[in-house]
Amino acid sequence: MNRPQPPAFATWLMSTLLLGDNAEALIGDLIEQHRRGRSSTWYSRQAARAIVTTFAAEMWQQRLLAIVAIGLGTYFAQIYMFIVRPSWVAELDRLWYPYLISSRWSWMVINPWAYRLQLYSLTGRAVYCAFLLAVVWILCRLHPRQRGLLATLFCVTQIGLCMPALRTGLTTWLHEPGNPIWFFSLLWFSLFTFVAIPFSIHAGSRLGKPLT
Amino acid sequence: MATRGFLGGFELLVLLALIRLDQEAYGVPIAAAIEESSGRDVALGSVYITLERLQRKGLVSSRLGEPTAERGGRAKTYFRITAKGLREVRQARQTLITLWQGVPTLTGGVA
Repeated sequence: MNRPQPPAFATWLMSTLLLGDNAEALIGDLIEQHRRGRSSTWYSRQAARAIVTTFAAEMWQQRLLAIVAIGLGTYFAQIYMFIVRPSWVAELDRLWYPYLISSRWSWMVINPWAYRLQLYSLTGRAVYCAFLLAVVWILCRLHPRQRGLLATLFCVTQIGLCMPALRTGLTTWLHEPGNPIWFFSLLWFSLFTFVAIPFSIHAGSRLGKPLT
Repeated sequence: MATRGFLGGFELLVLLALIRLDQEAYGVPIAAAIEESSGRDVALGSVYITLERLQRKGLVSSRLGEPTAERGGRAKTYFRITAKGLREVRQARQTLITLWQGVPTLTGGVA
């Protein structure tokens, strides 16, 4: 007999975002209830409520750590600029793309596709993500039980900080939708915000898991 | 007079459900017992948050069951009330009884 499967996305969201010591037991309970006849809507609603309530409870329980994580996340760009000097990034740029520094503008004109791919910002963004991963990893090693809370707060603050630039990118593109430069600029920055940053934070928190 | 934390309304309901269910108390039957007696929808997430809080207070203990296929390979966490938890429930009951005795009939509107 085929058992009804609960909504996979809701289960994945819970596996990723649910906080607390009993997260696995809670997911198991919801799956059990779904298989006993509860609807998928009920399951998804319970999953959403569980994520929000456990997050709020964990934040209240660990409020000092939460304040530190929000502060660190908010000023992360400044910390990055202070520790990882732009000149170091320029040195890295020179390693993998020797023409980049010396003839930047001419290179862009000669090779518009290279410009559209925004290779000139790739090193800086990669280093930023690596630095983010390292900081999250250190924090998660220091507070292994609060890995989920730290990762979520870092993710929220980092994405939140990218929002003004994203809005500018979007309005610029909407003013001139036919211009590929604005389109690619928005596309790459969106990928950086919604894929690269969350992935780096997630990887940092996963690597920060204590060895068993 | 020494200050002591009172049990919250939902905490008391969860502890009473634990007493009723005894050995078989995990998330689903606890939520069902509260829903049955209160007639309200109970979020499983809220039940677990309360259980974790009670555990931190030392009023509840837990043990891990075996993972089953019905639960997608996830184990149940069984909860049990501790001696300290029982004392707190008795105290809460006594407080409620004492307070109720001073309350006149609740029929009709607010005076």
